[in-house]
Amino acid sequence: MASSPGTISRLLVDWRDGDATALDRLVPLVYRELRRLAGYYMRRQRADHTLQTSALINEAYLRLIDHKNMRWENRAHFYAVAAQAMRRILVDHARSRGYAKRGGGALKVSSDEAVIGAQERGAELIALDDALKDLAAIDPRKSQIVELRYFGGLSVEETAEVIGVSAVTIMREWRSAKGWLLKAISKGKQ
Amino acid sequence: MTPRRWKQIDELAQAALGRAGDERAGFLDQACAGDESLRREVESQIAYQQQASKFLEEPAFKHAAELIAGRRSQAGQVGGAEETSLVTGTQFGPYEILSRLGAGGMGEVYRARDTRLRREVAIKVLRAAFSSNAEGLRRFEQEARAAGALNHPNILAIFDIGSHDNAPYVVSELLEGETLGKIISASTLKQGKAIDYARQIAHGIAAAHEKGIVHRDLKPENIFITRDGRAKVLDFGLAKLTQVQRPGMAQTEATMIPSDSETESGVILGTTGYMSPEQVRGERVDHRSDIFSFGAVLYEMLSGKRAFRRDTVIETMGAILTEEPPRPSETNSEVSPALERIIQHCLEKRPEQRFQSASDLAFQLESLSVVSGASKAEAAVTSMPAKRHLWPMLLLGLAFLTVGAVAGILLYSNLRKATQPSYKRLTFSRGTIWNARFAPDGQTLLYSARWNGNPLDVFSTRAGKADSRPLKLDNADLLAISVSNELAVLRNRQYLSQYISRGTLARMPIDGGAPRDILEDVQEADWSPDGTKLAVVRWVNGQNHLEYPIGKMLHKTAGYISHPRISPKGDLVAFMDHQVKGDSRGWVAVVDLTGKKTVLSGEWSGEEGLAWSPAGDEIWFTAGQAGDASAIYSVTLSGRERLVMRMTIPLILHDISRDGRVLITSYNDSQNLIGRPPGETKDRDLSWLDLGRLSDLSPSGKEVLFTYWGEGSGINYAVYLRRTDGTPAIRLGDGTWPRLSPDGKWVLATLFTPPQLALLPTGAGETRTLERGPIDEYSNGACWFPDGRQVVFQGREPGHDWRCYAQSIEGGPPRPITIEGTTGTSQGILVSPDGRRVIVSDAQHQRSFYPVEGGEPQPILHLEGEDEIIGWSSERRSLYIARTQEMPIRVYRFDPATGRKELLKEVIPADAAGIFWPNSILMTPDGKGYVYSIRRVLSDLYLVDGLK
Repeated sequence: MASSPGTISRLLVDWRDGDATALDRLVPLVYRELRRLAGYYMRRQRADHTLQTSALINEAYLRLIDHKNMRWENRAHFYAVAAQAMRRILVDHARSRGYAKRGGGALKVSSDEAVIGAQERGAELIALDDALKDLAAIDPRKSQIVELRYFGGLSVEETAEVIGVSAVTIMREWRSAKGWLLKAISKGKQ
Repeated sequence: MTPRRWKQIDELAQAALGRAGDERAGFLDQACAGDESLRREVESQIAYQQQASKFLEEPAFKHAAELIAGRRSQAGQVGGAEETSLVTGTQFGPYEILSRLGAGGMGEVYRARDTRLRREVAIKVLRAAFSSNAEGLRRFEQEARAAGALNHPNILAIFDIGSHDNAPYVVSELLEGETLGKIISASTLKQGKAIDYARQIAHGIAAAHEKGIVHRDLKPENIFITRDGRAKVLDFGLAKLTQVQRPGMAQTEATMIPSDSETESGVILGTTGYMSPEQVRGERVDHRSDIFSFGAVLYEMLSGKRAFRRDTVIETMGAILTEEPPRPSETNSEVSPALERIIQHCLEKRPEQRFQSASDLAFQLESLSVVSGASKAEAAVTSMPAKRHLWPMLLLGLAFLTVGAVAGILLYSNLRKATQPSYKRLTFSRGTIWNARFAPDGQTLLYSARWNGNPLDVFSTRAGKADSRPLKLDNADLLAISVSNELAVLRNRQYLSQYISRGTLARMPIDGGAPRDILEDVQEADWSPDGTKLAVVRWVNGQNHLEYPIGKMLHKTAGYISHPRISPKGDLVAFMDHQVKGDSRGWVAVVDLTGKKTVLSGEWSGEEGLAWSPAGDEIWFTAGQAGDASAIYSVTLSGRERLVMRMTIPLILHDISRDGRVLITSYNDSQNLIGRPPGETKDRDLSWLDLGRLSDLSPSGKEVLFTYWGEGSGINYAVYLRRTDGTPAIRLGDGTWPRLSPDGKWVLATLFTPPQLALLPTGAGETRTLERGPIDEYSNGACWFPDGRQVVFQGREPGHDWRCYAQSIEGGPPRPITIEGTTGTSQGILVSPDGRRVIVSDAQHQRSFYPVEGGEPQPILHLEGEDEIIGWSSERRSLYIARTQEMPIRVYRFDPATGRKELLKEVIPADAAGIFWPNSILMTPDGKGYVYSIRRVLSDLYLVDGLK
């Protein structure tokens, strides 16, 4: 399918209007563009240069969307799609590398081992993805906040715009969700 | 877990987190009411949430960019390399390897002979895996240098640091004996022996602390007991230099400080079982963290058990944060109560409640080991006050408030025996200081202030002079002074809300002349070190942009940016990054000239004031945590934070001179309530607590309601009722925007966490809450209908904009009465006396009458933006409106039909000094009684010398 700006814009509208399959068609398109842009940036920039997700998503948005026919609220939807695409990209990557979960929870380290290192980010990512699915089952909004903030790289204010609550609420729920996730990841499934 | 159960847990956890630590238990007792499993879940959520402060804060993409671009992740490569192994006889620089002694955390340890000095030494050779890892190398070097700077009988002596075939090594004295870990794993120690070791360890730590070195990883394995019974503290592998760099040393020290943070998210340094609570939380750590770890070691020496030991790291961390270990005497009856108290005092969760220095701790242990007989030993400990502040007290005569009280200032510094900073007060007038800067000569000081109610102006003074010269700039704020003596000033600064302002940036010579305008919509600015360029923070389409030079955007945010300061080298701009407009919570960050932003500090609330250290290696800033007066902290470019100075009153840091002197203001923020009940002829001071915001006045004018929002209030603030006859105020409960019911029996208040409307009884009775229905957030206060049975409030459902709802207090869900995009006014939603219309506002601040039972809204014409509607007059056609952002405060009677305004009242406080926004006024419907509140910020400028 051609990823012309019109296609993506239409899919976004379809998705907003309740067509769940539109999302399945959207994510690969956004995925491809994000991947292409990321590769481009990585080649151009110095190795230590931090790439900002939000900048990348913004650029993808500018390239992918038919702006004349889009209303502002679709930008929020695009962010939501992009964050979801980013999550799939990262988690698929980690799974394809075969970062298996270790028994009893990915971060379980015996207390004698002392230092928690920055080890096996891939396994952590898979554990986080699983925990986020569990969180979505009992509190979908907090799960989405984490997706937007962590995978989408959105600021608190931007997340507030997408979800449609105040920034203060986002801050509070973000903290709460992180606590829940840390516990879920540390202890394995709740 | 069901959604409902989780919601219950989450809301209780958030509400508990909003309370001070010592109130939490009581709150949970009440809220969980015997449901133990609920309580455990809530406590666990709280503990994890506290641990998770840095968790996920770095967006996934930082790591993802590498993955997506097909690069190999760095993780996983570490640790796979071959072990270094040296055979006997190997020459290692001037050292000859004799035998292998063991393996430490980072390398192999050998017994060796120094061929030059003909003595035996120990050599630690860095493991190959680490030597190919930049961070490992840095940590190794840091360890060696930190320990090499110490010379104490209870600290392992370091002789040499070197490198052989690219393998770094450190040479130390060779000890014969065993680690404390080995000794206590065999058996518990006799009390006498334990005290003897503990005393020596404490002396060793005290010596390190005096040099500004915090060990950060004290544990039995890092303490060595020699054959002749001497305790030696080893392995300053994680020692963090808290020492201030002296100008001459800056070069060498800079090379050993890691260039990126060692407390990177996900990496927690220290050994879990012995970490202090602040280490577990990833917060700033000072010498008192070692005192906690020491307490855990001493505990284990005596009881034979770890003070905090659980099956997993995370559970151990949870125990450190929330649990008290069982008394050592439960397993070892020999342990005296005095010693137990010393251990307890070390293991206090809050650093300020522990021993404040290792030398005091050593002293206490000495007294136990010297004094024979438990009773005397006990006396030595029990005579110590529970919360003893051992820091030197410095009394300064400070004229605060109207009474000129003398305030005691408690000084804090990292090094107890460091030279005392000296304080010189520079201003002696009453009012508010906005900004202060050193001129390039280092002697002239400029500051902007509003004195005695006069307009904002810039003043010039010199240290040691009692008077200041005004520059006579009408309504201008000082932003920066260039090296060539040019000022950057902000003319006509207008506040849109707290912390959010804009004005016209202008430049002018320091010795006078007219300012020349440069740029509009500017919030703040700073000069480049050479004085040719400006960095500015300005507003563009509702976003805050940081530009340097003007026109080149380096960073933008939908929150706001404050305190941009260019580094002495001109290569970085430091600033405070705030995520939410009007909320001073934020991070200290730097951005380089290509726009690459790095967050340096942890998250702080109340961030105000920032400056670079003269060497450009640290950024000092003022910030506070909830319930905590602000203090000065510093953070290095690698993200190490430390406390520089704390006082018992709030401070703002303004500037640091090239020779390290510091300009600070101390300030006092207060809100006064003043009222005149109907029938009286004189105003009465109704102030109660420091920061009470006027909320409601009863129609009789006899009761006033206010919201307390000072440091002593919780996350939901607190509602107070005070009678205008002057009897003491009564605290009705948590909440904000309180409104009195028509019969005076209930107060309707708004809670934020969890969001709730509450009915607080003014007399006997129980607090009730209203059904929330789909409402997710409340704002701007709720009001009563005249029948006292219905209320109206501003609320929001998930995914929707604000609108107004009506709800019966007798039960049932709320129902919307206005369209989305409507809010209350500054005084909430006003209900007409007949209950048929409400006054609401839209996003453009257009106020309208809105029919409750449906129909077209009717805009209120002839109102200006600054006119606030404060209530209905008893003459039903008219409203009271007020102007509170200027002095005097004026109240008008306003007829919305004709637009006629009639001046009714002017109030001006006798003392105009320091009056600050926001203020408010309310009238009784008959116009005879009134109450107003005035916020006052009074500040004094100090020049501080000797801060490190």
